[in-house]
Amino acid sequence: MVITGKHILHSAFYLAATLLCVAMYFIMLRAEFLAAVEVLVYIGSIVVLILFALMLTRTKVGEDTNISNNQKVFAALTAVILFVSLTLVFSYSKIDTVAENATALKISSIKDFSGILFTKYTLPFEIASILLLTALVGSIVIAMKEKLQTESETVVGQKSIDAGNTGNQNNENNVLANQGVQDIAAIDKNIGSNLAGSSETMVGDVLPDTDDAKGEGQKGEN
Amino acid sequence: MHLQLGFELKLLYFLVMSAVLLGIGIYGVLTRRHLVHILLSIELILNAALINLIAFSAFTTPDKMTGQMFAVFIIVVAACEVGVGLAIILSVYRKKNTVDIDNMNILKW
Amino acid sequence: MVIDLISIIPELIVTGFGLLVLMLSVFIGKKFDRAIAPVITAGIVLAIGAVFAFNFYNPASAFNNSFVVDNFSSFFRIFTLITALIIVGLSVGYVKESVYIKRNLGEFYFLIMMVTVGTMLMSSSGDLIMLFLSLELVSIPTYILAGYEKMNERSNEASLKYFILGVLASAILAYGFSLIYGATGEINLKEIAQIIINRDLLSNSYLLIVGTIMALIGFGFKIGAAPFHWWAPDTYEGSPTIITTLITTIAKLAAFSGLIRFLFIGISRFKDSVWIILFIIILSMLSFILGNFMALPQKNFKRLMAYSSISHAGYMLIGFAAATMDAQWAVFVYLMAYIAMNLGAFSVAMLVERTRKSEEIKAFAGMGYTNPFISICMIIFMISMVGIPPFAGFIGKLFVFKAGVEANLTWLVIIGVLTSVVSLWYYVNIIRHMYFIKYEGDAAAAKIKAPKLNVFIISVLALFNIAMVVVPSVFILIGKNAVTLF
Repeated sequence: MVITGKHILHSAFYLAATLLCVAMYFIMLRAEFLAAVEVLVYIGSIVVLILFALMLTRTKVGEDTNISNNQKVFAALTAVILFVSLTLVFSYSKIDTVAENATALKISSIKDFSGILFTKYTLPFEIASILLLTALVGSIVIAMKEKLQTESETVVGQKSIDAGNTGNQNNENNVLANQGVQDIAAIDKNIGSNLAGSSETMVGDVLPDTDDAKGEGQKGEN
Repeated sequence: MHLQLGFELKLLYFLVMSAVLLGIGIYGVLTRRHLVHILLSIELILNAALINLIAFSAFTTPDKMTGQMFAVFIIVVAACEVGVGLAIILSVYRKKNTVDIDNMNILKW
Repeated sequence: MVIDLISIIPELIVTGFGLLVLMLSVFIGKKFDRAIAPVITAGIVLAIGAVFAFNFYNPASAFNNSFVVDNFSSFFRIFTLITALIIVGLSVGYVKESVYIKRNLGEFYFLIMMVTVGTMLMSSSGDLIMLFLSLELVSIPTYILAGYEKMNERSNEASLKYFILGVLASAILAYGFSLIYGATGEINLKEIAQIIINRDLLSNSYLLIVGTIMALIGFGFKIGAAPFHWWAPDTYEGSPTIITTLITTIAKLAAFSGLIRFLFIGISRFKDSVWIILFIIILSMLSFILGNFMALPQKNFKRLMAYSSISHAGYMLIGFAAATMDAQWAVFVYLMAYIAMNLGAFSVAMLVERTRKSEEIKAFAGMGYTNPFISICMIIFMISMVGIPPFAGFIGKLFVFKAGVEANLTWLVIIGVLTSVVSLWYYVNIIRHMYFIKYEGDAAAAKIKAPKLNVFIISVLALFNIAMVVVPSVFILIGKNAVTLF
């Protein structure tokens, strides 16, 4: 229904429902912590972020009759072939399992989980924090509203060529640029909060951690 | 605590569910026209991978929890991708006033 | 713990300088813009020094084997860092003329540094998690950089297409990795190889084979091999030229180093499985046939280069299909030649674009007479791309083809040679424009402005292209050393 929903908003909510079911699977598989993460991060932030985007782009809210393009048959064929072949592969491949039934599985505790995460997988953890920072900076840069609209674009272009000019406009440009820098903090809250929030709930303090990495970097230089 | 269910929850059950999600996701990516719709379909594929990882982790190597670690990092990456993706969609929308993939056709051949 | 930190010093330096630039450009503001490129350059040079000082011929594995320092990673890091250095050098003049990049300069260089770090991490990753994360660390900044000209519809569209297909690729890659994990119960590449050999999985586990093929689909998207190449032409054409250069060099290096790690270390016996080899051969063949023939009618230089890089990816995949020891260093040598000639061609094109404001092949007209030196360098790069004897591309192709013939793939190699004859047509077309067609535009733009820094970079790259033919033994030695530990 995520896919066939004619109403894009409904699709987003169906996605939330699907993800909730996925979280249920996780609980069945005795991965309680990940189930919590799934609910918090996916439903709590990703779906909400998508809803935000839908509102920001002011999509026609209403039934969209023509939601698919003209490769329906081909796509359905691909999907079915993929599904059937994967199912065959799964059912015919022998996998050594510790337990026949999911009810017999061991519950994985958060303590073990964090123990492994912070000893064996520290480097991936640091990289994940850098990745989050990069995504944060990047989405701010891309989504930041341009103060100068398209009409004044040519003016700015000329200005950039004779950068030596000290006219009124040039000053204005500088002011705007500085404002842009200050704006980062504000927009950070708007756009980035979901991202940052998700990362914080998930892997602890992200930003302090990147600072750590930086500190290590400086240590390395010394 | 023991779950009381009428049927056995075998590994295969979870794997088939993940294959279903993958199929739906691929179908969605190939057919939908709304950009956000495509993004949702990709999320489904990522979730299929998550189910796989956690099922394998629980059934084959429960003590090492490798699959669970991988799953956490995939969730992080998914969050990044959605953030960046929506920023890109937003900037495209500002310029073109549409989010229909079929209208993205300035660059051709 | 100490050895852990020592082995990632170069990455830490690059990350640290990236964050430094980001912070300083926020706190100091526009005044800092002038100093960014020198700071970044200092960081990269320091990192190269650190690789030489700490990691060279000093194999180690850190962070519970998730990070491996061996010859391959050391050579690859230096290679990546030099490429990044050249791109930073080229960007200095370019960003001054680009309104949007100039406005967010600190972030721009931060993202470039992150791409570099991702590539370096990729070349030394020891498990599937690291491969996945560093691939993302390379891709996410490039999605953003491709769309850096926010008010330019073409840039928007380029970024969007790259994003959608890139994310799809990484989702499929994640699924493939999950299947591999399920089949072997391990994510460490070396242990996966061991388990596959012990249990003979490649001949009896379809789970592993399907997983590997799905991972190859993911990597295929990233290296731009046909039939997964559809993002490449659009993204190359729409992105700012400096970013096109970045995508065609560093991002591709990352994908190839990941592929080398994944196939030659992880699934090290992939030659045993007919399916995987067949899949690679199909990818390779489609890439160089499609790439070369689609390039013929192109009028836009960047789009032409996109198809040309698709065909080069196809040639490199012959090396993967051959999967012998010789093929491994042949791929490495080919990568070096590929980077050198691509960087050269793009740095010339960037100068042309800056003066004549056009990316069409027509814009090259007449520059053979106004700018003789640059034109001669351009001829070197173009001939090198075709793979005709006196330049680097020839060495690259020669060894890959030789490895292919030795692995009984003669028919594939013959198709490859035939299609590179086709490629002669469109590369020579550019040279024809430079010398035999008069430039029709305003006279002020007739002579291409060439800043000293760019001319220096272009001549270094041209020299490198010649050097690879004059002393091929040096480069073969580098290639052989780089893969000895496999």
